[in-house]
Amino acid sequence: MGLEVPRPIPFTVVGGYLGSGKTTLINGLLAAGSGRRIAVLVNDFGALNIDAQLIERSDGETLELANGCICCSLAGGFAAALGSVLGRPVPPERIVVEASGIADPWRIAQIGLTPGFILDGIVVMADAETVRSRAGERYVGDVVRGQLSAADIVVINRTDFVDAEERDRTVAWLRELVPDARLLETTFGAVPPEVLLGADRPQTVDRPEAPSGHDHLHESAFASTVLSADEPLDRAALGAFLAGMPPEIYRAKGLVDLADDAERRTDLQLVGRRWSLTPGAPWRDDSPASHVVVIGAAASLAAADLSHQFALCSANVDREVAR
Amino acid sequence: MSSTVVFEARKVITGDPMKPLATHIAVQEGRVLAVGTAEEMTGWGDFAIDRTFAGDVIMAGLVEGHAHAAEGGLWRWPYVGQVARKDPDGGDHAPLLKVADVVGLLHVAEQELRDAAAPLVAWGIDPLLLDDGDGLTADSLDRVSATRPVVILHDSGHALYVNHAALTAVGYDETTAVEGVLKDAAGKLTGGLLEFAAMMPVAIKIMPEFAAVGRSAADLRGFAEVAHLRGVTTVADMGTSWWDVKLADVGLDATADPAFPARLVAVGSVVGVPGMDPDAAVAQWCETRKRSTDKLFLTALKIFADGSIQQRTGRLNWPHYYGMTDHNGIWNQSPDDLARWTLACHKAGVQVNCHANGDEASDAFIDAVSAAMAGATFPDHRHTMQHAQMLTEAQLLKMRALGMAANIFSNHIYYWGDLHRDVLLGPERASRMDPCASADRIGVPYGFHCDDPVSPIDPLFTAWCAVNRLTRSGRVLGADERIPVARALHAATLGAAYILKLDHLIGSIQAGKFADFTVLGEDPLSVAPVDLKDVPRVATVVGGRVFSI
Repeated sequence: MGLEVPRPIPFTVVGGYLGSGKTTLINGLLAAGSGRRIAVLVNDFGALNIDAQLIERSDGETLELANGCICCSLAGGFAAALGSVLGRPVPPERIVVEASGIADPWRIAQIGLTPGFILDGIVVMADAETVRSRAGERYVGDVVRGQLSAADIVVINRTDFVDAEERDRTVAWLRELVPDARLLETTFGAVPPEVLLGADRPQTVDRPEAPSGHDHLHESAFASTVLSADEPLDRAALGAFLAGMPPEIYRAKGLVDLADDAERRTDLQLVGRRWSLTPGAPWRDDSPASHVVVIGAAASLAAADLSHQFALCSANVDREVAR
Repeated sequence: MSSTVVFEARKVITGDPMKPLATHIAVQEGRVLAVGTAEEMTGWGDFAIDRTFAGDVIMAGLVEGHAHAAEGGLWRWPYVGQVARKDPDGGDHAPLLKVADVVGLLHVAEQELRDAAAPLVAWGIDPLLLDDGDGLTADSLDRVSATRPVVILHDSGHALYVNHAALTAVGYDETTAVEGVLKDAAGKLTGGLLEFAAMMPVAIKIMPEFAAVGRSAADLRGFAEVAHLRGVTTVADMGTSWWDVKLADVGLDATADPAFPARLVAVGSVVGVPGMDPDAAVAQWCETRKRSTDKLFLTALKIFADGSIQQRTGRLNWPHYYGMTDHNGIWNQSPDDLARWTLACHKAGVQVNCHANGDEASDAFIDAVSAAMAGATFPDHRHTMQHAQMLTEAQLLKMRALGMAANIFSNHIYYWGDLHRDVLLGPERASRMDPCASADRIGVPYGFHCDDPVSPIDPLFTAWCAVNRLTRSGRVLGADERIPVARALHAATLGAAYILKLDHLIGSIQAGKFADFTVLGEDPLSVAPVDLKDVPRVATVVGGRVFSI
C-alpha cells in the first residue's frame, strides 16, 4: 500500500434559484463527459434529460453513464448520497452538487472544506430576464440575493431573452451585489466544462505541452493559456498575482514550485475570486517547475500580460527592483 | 353475537359535550357499545363487568398529533438529554443537567461496549438546557474515552458534540475551515459540529446506520410503546418516508400484532420523493392509502416550509429575530413548491400538513391553500398548519375563512419559552406564541403535539403547558393565551383527532367509536391546573384491549 494521502476530490456547487438553468448546465456537463469520472449529485433525476443510450445502469438512486460519469440522487439526503458515491470501487475524480433552487450554496460548499475534498468553486446561475425581480420578491428575495452573494462565478443565463440595455443593467446590478465574483454571460446554459471545472485532469497538468499563444475552446469566446516558470516562485508574490487576476479570468489550475516548500509540488487552484495553494506530492526525481493553465475570456487573456506577471513571481526576482 | 365487557370507573370523562360524564362503558368488538350509568348498560343484553378501573378516572384515549417514529429507534443508543423520558421498556431517564452527569452516564455505557474500536453514540442533548453547557467540549468527552470516537447527537438533529478521537477519525484539525466546525478563541476545536456539512464526515464514517432509524418494525413498536407509556392510544408519525412501499409493508406487519399498543397514523413526507411530479406522487399516495387498517392509518401528506425558531432557521416576518432584524431563516421548500404540492393534494382530496414555525412560513402556506382553493374544490379539507408557533390574529382569521386547522406546539412554552423571550423573539412575540386562546376566540380548530423526539411524547404535559404557560424558569409567558383544563383535554383528544381527520372514530367516548381510553389515577378536571402533568397514567385501552402502564 502506498503511503501517499489520496488527492482531495474537487467539490463544485452549482446553485441558483429555481428555473435559472442549473439542470441545463448539469446536462451539458454530463453530455460533454470530457473523459472525467464526474459524480453529479442532483435533487431530481426526472428533470435531467439524459440520452437513454448513454445510461449504462440505473438503480433508482444512481445512474451510471457510458462516459464514466455517475449521477446520484439527493433524495435520501447528503450523507447517503456522498457515502454511496465515495464508497464506489472507483471513487469519482470530482463531485458536482446541484443545489436545490432555494438552498444556500455556501452552506453546501462547506462540505467541500471537509477532509478529503477541496472546494472547487461555487457557480451560481442567474436568469438574465428574471433575476432582478426575483431578488425583490417577498418570500424569496433574500434567498436569491444570498445565493448570488456566495458565488465565485455567476453565470448569467438566457441573455438572448433581454436587450442589451437590460443586460447591462443586470450586469451592473450584479457587480454591485457581488463585487468580486466573475460574471459570465451565456445562453441555453452553455458553459464549456473547462470553464466550469477547470482545464485538465489534475494528473495531466504535471507536464503540459507548452503551447505558443492561446488555445480557443470550442470555438467560443473562451481561451486557455499555459504559464510556466523554471525558477521557484515566491508565495506572497504568487498570492498577489492570483488575487489581482483580471475579472474575465475564470479558472486557473496547475502545479507550482514554491521556494518556501521546495521538496514537494503545490497545487494551485483559482475559481473566480477563490484561489488556494495546497501542498501536493513530493518532487522526488522530477525536476521542479511551475505550470499553470489559465482559462478566461479570449480577448482578456490576449490583452493581459499574464506570462510576464507570472515570471515576476519568481523567488529570484529582486522584489524592490521589480516593483 | 360477541361478548360485551362493561368497564366501570369512578368517573368517565367522555369528551362528548352533550353527555360529558358517566361511570360505565360497554365495549363490544373493540368499539363503544354504550356509555352512561350501570343502569343504562342493561338494555344491551348480557355483559361481563370489569372493575379493574373502578377506582380510577377514564377519559378518551389521548392522541399525539405529530411525532416521529425515529424515537423508537434512538433508544439503541444511550439517552443523555436534559428532559425526563421513559424508554420503550418503561425505564425512567432523569434529566442530566450537568456535563459531569453526561460524562458519567457515557462512561458507564462505554464500559459495556465490547468492541474496542466501536464508536459510542448517544442522543438527545441540548447544551442550552445544561447548567454548564459551555463545558460540553471534546476535552470533557475525552474523559469518556480517549481512544474510542464518542458522538452525541443534538436533540434537534442539527448538531453533534464529539471527542478528539472522533475529530481525528474524520480528519478535523485546527486547519479545518468548515464553518460549522466550532473553534474556541485560541483556534482549538471545541468538538461542536453544527449543521449538515460539518456533521457529514461523522455521519458517513462513524454512524452510517443513523439514516435508517425509525424504519424497522422494532422501531415502530418502540415508538408506540413510548407513546403508550404516557397514556396515548393514537400517535401520528408526521412525515417520514411512507412512500416507500417496503416501509408500508413493515408498518402493516408491525401493527397487525394485537399487542401493538397504539394506533399509528402515517403521514407521508413529500421530501425525498424521487423524480415524480406532485400529481403523480399524490396519485401514488392515494393508492398507498387504500392499504390502511384500523391500526395503521395511511392518511395525509406533509410539506415543509421552514426550519425552526430555536435554530434561527424559521422564516419570520419583519422584525425577524430579536436584535437581528437583518437575519431570516431558510425555506425547506420554496413557496412555489409548497403551492404546487398543496394544489396537487387539494385536487386529489388529500389533506396537507405544512411544517411552518415562523409567521412568514405560515403566510406562505396560507397563500398556498388560498390558491389551491381557487383552483379546485375539496370540501372539509382541514389543511393543517403544523407547529404554528407564531400565528397572528390576521393569520388565524384567514385560516378560519379558508377552513384550515392548526397543530399547536405548546411544549415550546416550557422548554424554550425563556429562550424565545430573552434571545430569539423578544417579550411581545414570545408571549403570543402557540396561541391557543386566540385560536379559540377566532374559531380555528386545533390539536396538540410534541414533535418527538424534539420533546417527549406526553399529551397531558402538552395540555399542562397550554393551561399554565410556565417556562423552565417559572415565569408565566403570555397569561392571556392560557386555556382552561377542559379545553386543553379536548385539544389532546378530539382536537388532535379532528386535525388527523379521525374524529369520527377516536377522540371521545361515544357509541360507535373505537374503545380507546386513557385511565388516570386522579381526576384531571379536579386537580389544581398546575398539577395536571402529574396525574398518574394507569393504563390505556385500545380497541377494548387493556395495556397496563
